Amino acid sequence: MKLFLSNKSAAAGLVMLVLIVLAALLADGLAPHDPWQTVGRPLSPPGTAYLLGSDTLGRDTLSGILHGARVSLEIGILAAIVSVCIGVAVGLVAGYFGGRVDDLAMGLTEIVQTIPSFVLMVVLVAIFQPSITSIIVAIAVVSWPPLARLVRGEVLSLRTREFVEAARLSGLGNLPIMLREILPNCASHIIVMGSLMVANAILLESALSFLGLSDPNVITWGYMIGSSRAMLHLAWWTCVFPGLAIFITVLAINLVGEGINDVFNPKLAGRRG
Amino acid sequence: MLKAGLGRVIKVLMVLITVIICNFALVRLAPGDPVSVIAGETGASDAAFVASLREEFQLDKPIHVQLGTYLANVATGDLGYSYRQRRPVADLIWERMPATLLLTGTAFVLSLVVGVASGIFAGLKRGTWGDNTLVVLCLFGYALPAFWLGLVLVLIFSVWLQWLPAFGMQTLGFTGTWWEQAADVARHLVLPAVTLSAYYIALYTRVMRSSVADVQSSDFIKTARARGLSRRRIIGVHMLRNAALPVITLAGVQAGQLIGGSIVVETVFAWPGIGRLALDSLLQREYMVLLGVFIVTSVMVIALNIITDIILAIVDPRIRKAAA
Repeated sequence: MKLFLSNKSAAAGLVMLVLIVLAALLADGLAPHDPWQTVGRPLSPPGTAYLLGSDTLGRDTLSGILHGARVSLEIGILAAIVSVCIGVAVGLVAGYFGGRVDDLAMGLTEIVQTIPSFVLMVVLVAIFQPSITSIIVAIAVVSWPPLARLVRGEVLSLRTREFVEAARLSGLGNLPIMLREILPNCASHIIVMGSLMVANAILLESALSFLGLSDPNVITWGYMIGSSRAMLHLAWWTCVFPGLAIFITVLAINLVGEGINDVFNPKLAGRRG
Repeated sequence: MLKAGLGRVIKVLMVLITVIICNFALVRLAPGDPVSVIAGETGASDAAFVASLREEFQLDKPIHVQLGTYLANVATGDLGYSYRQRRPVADLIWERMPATLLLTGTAFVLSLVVGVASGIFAGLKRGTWGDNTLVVLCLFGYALPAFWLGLVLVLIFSVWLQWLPAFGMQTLGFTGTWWEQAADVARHLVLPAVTLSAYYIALYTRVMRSSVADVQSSDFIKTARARGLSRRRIIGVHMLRNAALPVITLAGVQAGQLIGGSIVVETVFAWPGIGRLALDSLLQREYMVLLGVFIVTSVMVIALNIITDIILAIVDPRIRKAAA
């Protein structure tokens, strides 16, 4: 932790992230208005009555951004968790059993990686109707392959080590060996990649909701930009501020992820600087 | 060579069949009647029309017969029919192909050229302020949502400065010589291409930077230095070729994302390509068009992957030997 905080950019990322999480948790109290409610003159510039202005329907931009933080983080984290689960399962099984199973699992991974993932996501969300669940599933379906490859590589190098042999000789079954002996040794890599997956999931979600593929019951940053972009030339603030929110959130998570990486893999840390 | 080629063909076929089965399954798994997916919003209420669709797509036959029919249709280039536009889906996509190829191709080249160049610069000047600036810019590049970057560029260069057009591919009603028209398209292309390539420029810069660093400390560069070769020759001939390999490999993998990303960018700039078509069909619930776009973009990605492999073989003699 000390090492982590001595890294200036990681510490800055952590501070930003904590603020964003607080904003998301306290959105109801912090936001001056209901994000859906028309509170004043449409397209009011920022600074006057509304800190960040209002949109075409006279909704407060700041309130939208605060409430949007909750949805973005929720979808980002849940989608990352689901794709980590898929990726770890596929990678573990492929690396541990090897042979045919490995060929099959890696073949599947390669196919998913080749398919244009954004198009697949759009198709999935469109056909199953936009909802938080369908968006999370769609993001998870396209995001797991890199992690599966990483975990497989780690497992391949771990499975012939003495401690795994010892566990096997002591009569432990395949599943306990995978989960109790091998998995904890991959944990650092999984945590680093998982945190970057959260950032990526937030970007993907914002792009989907920009295209109009967002849950109609929640306000999201992408939706705010998509719904007011026709007014860009009249009211830049309606697009610029929600986009800044996405940018800062993703940047913060990336910085924290890299900070964690430098702590876990100190050998690589020097090479980046 | 033959064996490597055969493996390639099998992989390509596997990807295609997976995409097609995926499509097939999606139409059947979608909430509601598959007919409503096939017909879109247009005619699902007309009982006679629904019955004729049922007949045509053999929806009353067992599932494997349906799949067989669908595979055969796709194999012959039949991607379905758009009942709203009253035209075959394949025609609609074919018409939009040049615009998308122009945009993604330009972005692909732009991101490789700029990414590799700035990566070399940063890798050679490690620790200088120029390198540090690039590292920070890359961090920003990773975190920028493409659609938002596009809108901000429009705001700056079209709305405020009025230097570049904000949308479309040509000025409406523009006539002129062949050359003037090309220049007009090029002006429209600048902002979308920059928007689409920003993320990849950041990615390639970063990979190239660490790759240059790795190669720099390798034995053959030390040997080249010891042989007294000029700095220009060492960088140009020995270093670049080797340092570029990871970037080219990555570029092949990223090609699919580039095409997917063009959906968003085409939407922002009203670029008349496949991505824009996908969004329009999405809004009109014309799922057959959307599924057709999915198949066609997959084919494009596969083609780009094969091209990348060929480029890799040209750049890296080891691969050429292994394949021979």
